[in-house]
Order: sequence, then structure tokens, then C-alpha cells
Amino acid sequence: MKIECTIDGKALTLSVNSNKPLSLILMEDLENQSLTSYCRGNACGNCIVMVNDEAVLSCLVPAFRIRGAKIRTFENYQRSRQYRDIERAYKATGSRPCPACFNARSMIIESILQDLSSSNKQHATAPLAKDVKLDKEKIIRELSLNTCQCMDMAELIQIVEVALGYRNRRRRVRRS
Amino acid sequence: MTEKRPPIPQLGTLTGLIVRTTVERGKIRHITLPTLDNRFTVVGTRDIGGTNRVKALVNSLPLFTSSTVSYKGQPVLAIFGPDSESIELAAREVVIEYDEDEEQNDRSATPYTWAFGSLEEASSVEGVLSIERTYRYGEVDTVNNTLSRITAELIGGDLHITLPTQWPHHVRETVAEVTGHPKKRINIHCQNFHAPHDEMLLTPSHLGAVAALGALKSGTEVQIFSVFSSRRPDVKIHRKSWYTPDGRVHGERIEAEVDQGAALLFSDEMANHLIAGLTPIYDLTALSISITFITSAKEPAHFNGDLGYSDAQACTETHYNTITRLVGYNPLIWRLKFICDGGSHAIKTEKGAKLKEVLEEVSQRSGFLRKSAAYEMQGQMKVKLSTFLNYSRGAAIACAPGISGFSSECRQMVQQAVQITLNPNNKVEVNTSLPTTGSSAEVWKEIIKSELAIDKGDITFAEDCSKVIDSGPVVLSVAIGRMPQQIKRACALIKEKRFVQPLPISESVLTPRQSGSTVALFTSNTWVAIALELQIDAIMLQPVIRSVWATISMPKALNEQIVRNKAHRSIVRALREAGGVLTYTSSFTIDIKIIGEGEQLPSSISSAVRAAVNSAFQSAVEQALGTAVTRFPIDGSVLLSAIKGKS
Repeated sequence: MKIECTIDGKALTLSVNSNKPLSLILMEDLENQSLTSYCRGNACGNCIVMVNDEAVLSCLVPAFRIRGAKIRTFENYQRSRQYRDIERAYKATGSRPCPACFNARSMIIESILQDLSSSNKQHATAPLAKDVKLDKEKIIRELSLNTCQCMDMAELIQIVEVALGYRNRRRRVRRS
Repeated sequence: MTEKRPPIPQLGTLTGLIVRTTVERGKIRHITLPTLDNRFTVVGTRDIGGTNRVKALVNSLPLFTSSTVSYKGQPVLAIFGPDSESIELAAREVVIEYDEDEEQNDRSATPYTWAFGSLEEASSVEGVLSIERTYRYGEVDTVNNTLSRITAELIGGDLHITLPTQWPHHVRETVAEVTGHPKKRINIHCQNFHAPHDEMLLTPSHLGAVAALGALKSGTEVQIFSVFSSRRPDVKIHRKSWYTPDGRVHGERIEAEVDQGAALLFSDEMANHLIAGLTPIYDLTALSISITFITSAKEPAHFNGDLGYSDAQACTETHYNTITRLVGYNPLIWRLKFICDGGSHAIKTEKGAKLKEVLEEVSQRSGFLRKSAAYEMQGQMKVKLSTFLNYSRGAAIACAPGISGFSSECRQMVQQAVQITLNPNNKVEVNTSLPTTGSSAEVWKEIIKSELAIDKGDITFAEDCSKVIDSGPVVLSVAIGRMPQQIKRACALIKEKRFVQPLPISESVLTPRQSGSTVALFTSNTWVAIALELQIDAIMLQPVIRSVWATISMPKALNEQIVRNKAHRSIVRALREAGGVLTYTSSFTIDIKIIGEGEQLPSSISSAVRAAVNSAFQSAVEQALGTAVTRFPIDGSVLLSAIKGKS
């Protein structure tokens, strides 16, 4: 089956089996170095990528579902400016995911940050996001996509909060 | 413009798949292969140019089996083909016929023993009481979901193998022995890896050898995609202790049985690690330990983060927590009274006063004395906390000395070296086969920087894989436990010659080896004390962790942030693996305090943290339920049987 999609900003036409999982397409066909997990759909959560700006488990996405989609992997994301916010948050909190889940957890946090930022934009009258109240249940649900046992939820939420602070500060600087 | 990608990215590279046995025990009668065209290559026992064995110190495993099946999933042959789909289809058509084998009794080896004092005298003290318990650890298989790509290619007579491995020299030796290819012409290129349960110790050697056979037979580049799994050995520990009502434990007899699966690998060293953990750090007049290793029709089990030390140490601490409850002491007060100065006979530790200080500190911070007494009283009064359970909160304390590396009695392991060269441009090159990325390498650089007064940027690692010297396997926290000491020693030797001899100055330091009956199996200069509080969720039947406090005493924390992060990660991982549930609540904390004193280099804390956390967790569950919990990890069924046992 021929599938057209955009992966890391590149428009591609892939010739793959229609049921081949996105994780295997990225690993085998595109040799993506940032993706190494292969749990055969057991939802370990280490294969997270952004499909249309939403964090998803790539091992559960069959090829036919990515037709026309915009996919972003950690390989591309780690070169972006947004990643610096998360990297600084890791440093500031002194907590860092283990190498196995680092990429996936960073992508989930980015997805949460984008979500929080967009919700902030919708409320244009509200002051900038430092006052946005975090919906912790939603964040926990999102963070639970990854099942790696190296970190506890309190640590992860702290990272999200700190990273959000950095992102908002950067935005304010850019606006001013 | 849309870029078109072909379905197979690397044309010409063969992908491999290993066909494995589907029965636990038996004999292979016949193997029928499908008709395969010339794009496929099949590798079996007949293609092995050398020996069909993967060695692990003194013992070994067969690479492929052609007759006797020892466990389910044993490799039989490998098929290499143009893509993963076609080899999977071909592998499905391979028919292996088995002859049923008679049920074999598990073979048992000669027990390892360790003893001091007279148990007869200890058990005949006036008014002596006894307690007997059997603890079970294991039954956890961990799978590292990281899909690793192992490649092998023959270029101009040189075999190039790329893979993630904890022991590159073992891969080279295995490939050389299996293929008969000269060792000098085998180049190992190591990939970065993360193996918290030592999944990448022997399996990469196995897969590397299979890939090498495929590359030699097909003459093209081959690749094998694989995830690595690790099986924890099943450990059964039976303890009988004799104690008097004043709280003093006089003697103890310990019988341990370790099921290592199909092959006994690293058993000698594992016995030493178990002895170190099973020997209490408390005053005792007589002790007898007997450890028996048995085999069964399961996948071989050996290293799993450590070599059984944390399980054994956790068992000891849990057992002594039970004794303190029987004699009516608070676990903290009992420990402060009966701690043996200088550690046990197996581990030489810092003075007992240091441990007392650590225990008191963690107890004070956690309010352990009050919480433990309150929970005990509420439990005894059968105060209802929910409809289904009586008062189900528990608090416990546990401690452990940190050890790292192989024991002083380990003779089979070739001495592992590190080489440091001070070059004429005042740049330092470190030659080691251990991974040179990550926090451990940063610590090594820190040591070299402080010893030789050289900028961190001027310190590099040897990259030519053919010249890298064997520093042994990356297990038992050697990178942070043993290696800093070797590096410091090498730097000291260079310092002596610097400005006296012309540059370059190169110094190699081997692992220190001590022998003699007076030398302890391990030396430790770190203490870990954990206090933990939990509650049993009556609906879900899960132990929910409320808070954890840790105090770590070490001589010198080179980077406190790294130590804190590692300790935090070890605590979280240990609790999750033990069956604990970590929920996000405002009251939940993991509070870590590091006490650093002295100038020595510390031994590792990972195993000690795991041991103390496991023990505190098990003891807290016991207090919460008011009944014995001897099976580990603790899941719903263990809790249910414990509750039923009580009723």
C-alpha cells in the first residue's frame, strides 16, 4: 500500500503493508534512531511520537491511519527550541527519565505543554499562562501513557510545571 | 516534492530470525526445513566452525541445540532472508519433531556453606525460643522492550559486529570460539544501551555469534533485530533463629535453594553475594548458611541487577524485623542495641556508630517511632479502617551496607584493567571497555581532573575498538563502585612519575585482589537506611505507598545530584517491582538525605537501596496485615493468601 504522510517535516510516500505499525515503519523503513522500543503492542509507552500534535503510542497506529498525517519524532524534536524548555526543566528539578523512556517522556511532556499553551491562547483575556491552573488528573492520564518504572508521578508533574514556566517566560520575552 | 521510500531500506542486507524450541524438555528427532530459494541462508549446528558453546566463566551454554532440549525457547537454528516478513513466514514452516523425554529430576549441585560458632550451644541457651520461616523471592521476568539491531559484516577478512553489550570482550571471545575466526580479526562496535536488569550481559554474545555465522555463510551483511529479556533466579530461603525474650538472637541456621534454570552460570560468585546478604549485621554467636543451586527447565537465570545480594539482604532485614516484633521491641531500638560493630563476617563495614546515626536520623525525619507504635497498637486493637480490612497501615525501617563488584574470593574472573595515559600535550586518554558515556564517566573525569589538575575537556576515551582493554562486564555497579578506585590509583602512579619521566606516561591498574581467611568477602563504606509507610487498599488489594524516607551515608559524594537522582530512581523502581503502588497525592514524598563525610571513594548504593526498600516494604505490609508475608514480589494474590491465612 502506498501512503503519503509528513514525517519530521518531510513529505514522504511509503510503500508498506497497510497493517504495519507506525513504530516499525519508523524503525525499519526510515531508520529513525530515536525510536527503539518494540513491545509488540503491549503499550510499554516508549514508542511515543506526535501525530498531528498529539502524543500517541506508535506501536498501536497501523500504517493506514497515518495517511495524510503530520508525524513528529524525537529525532526532529530534540533539535527544536521547544525541547530546550524541557531540557532546562530536567536540569532544574534534578530529575531525568532513564535512557529507555527519555525520548517518549519528553514527547509526552511536549504534548502536555502544547495542550496547556493552546488552552491558554483560547482564553485571550486571561493573563499569560503562569496563572493557568493545571488539570492534574488530565496530566497524570497523559503521563501514564508511559509505563517505565524509573520515575514517580510527583517528579513528572514537577517537571511539567517547571517546563511550562520556562515556555511561558520565553513566550513573554518574544512578545515583548 | 514527495520523497519516495522503497519498502526495504537496505537492499543486500539479510535479516535474521532465530527458530526456538517449543517444548520444555525432550529430544529433537527431526527438523524439516521448507524449500527456500537462494535469497535465504540457514545456519544450524553444522555451520559452526568452532565449538557450539557460549562460555560464562567456568560454565557454558550451547549456542544451538540439535538434540537435547533444556528449556522452552532454546535456539535451534537461524534463518536469514531479505526482509523480516519473509523470514517470519519461512520460520513458520520449519517443523521440529520431538521425542518426549522422561521427566528429569532437577539436578542439584554440592551446597555452598558458611558458618561460625556452635549452633548447638546457641540453641541450648536457657529460655531460648525459636522462629522458623521460609521466604520466596523471584518469579519476575523482565523484558527490555528496546529493539536492538545486531549487525555482522565481513570486510576484507575482518569481521565487524555492531551491537549493544555489557561485556564487549566476551562477545569477541564467543564469536572467535564459535566461528573459529581469528580473535584479532574480530572488531566489536558497541552501541549505547540501558540494561537495568543486566539483560545485555550474555545474550548479545549469543546473538553476535549467530549473526557472525550468518555473515560468514552468506558473505553479505546480516542483521538481527531482538529485544533482551532477563530472568530473576527463584530463591527460597529457610531461616531458623534462636532468640531469648530479652531480644538477643543467639544462633541462626539458613538453608537457601536457588533455581537458576537450565544452566548454572556464575553460581560460585552468586553464593558469595547471597552469603553477604544472608549474614546479619547484628550480634550473633553462631550462624550456619547452606546454599544449594538447582537446575530446572527454565531459561537460565543469573544476574538481575545484582547477583542475589539485595534479595538476601532484604530477607535478613525482614526476618529481624519479625523477631523484633516477637520480642516486643521497636525495630529501631532493637537495631540500635544489637548492631554489630564493623559489620558482619562477610562484609567489612564502617563502624556501627555510623549506622546508628543514620538509623536515628531517618527515624527522626519520618517520625518512625511514633508511627510504628501507633500502627501496631491500632492493628492489635483491630480498629477498622475499612469494611473489609482491619487497620491496614504499616511502617517499617530497614538498613543495608552498599557493596559493589565481585567478591574477594572470585577467582574465575580475569582481572579487569583500566589504563590512563598522560600525553605530551597534557591531554589524558582513558582506555577502558566500560561505557564511556553517562554519569559514571563524568565521575571518572572529575577524579582525573582533581588528581592530575587537567581540564575535563582534555580527557578523552580510547575509541579504537581493537585496542580497548578488557575492563570486565558492566555489572554490579563496577562503573561507579570499583572503577573510580582504579582510576584514582592510576592517577597516583602517574603523579609519582610526572615531571620526573618524559611524557607520555601510561599506567594500567588491575582490580585489587585480596586473599586469606581473614579477608571479608566484600568491603563497604556506605550505609543506606529506609523508613517507609504504606496502606493496603482494601478494594484493589494493593499496597499503596504513603511516604518513603531515605538516609544515605557515604564518605564522599562526588556529585550529590547524581547520587540523589540514582537513589530516587532505585527507590521508585524497587517499589514498583516489589508490587507497591505509587499514587500522586499531596502527602506522598520520597525524601532523600545524603550524609557525606570523609575523603574515600564510596562503594555503590544501588543494591543496598533495593535491599532496604524491599525489606521495609515487606515488613510494612506485614505490619499492615498483622500476618506473615513471605512471598516476594507482593501482588494481590499474595495479599489475599496472607489475609486468608490470618483468618
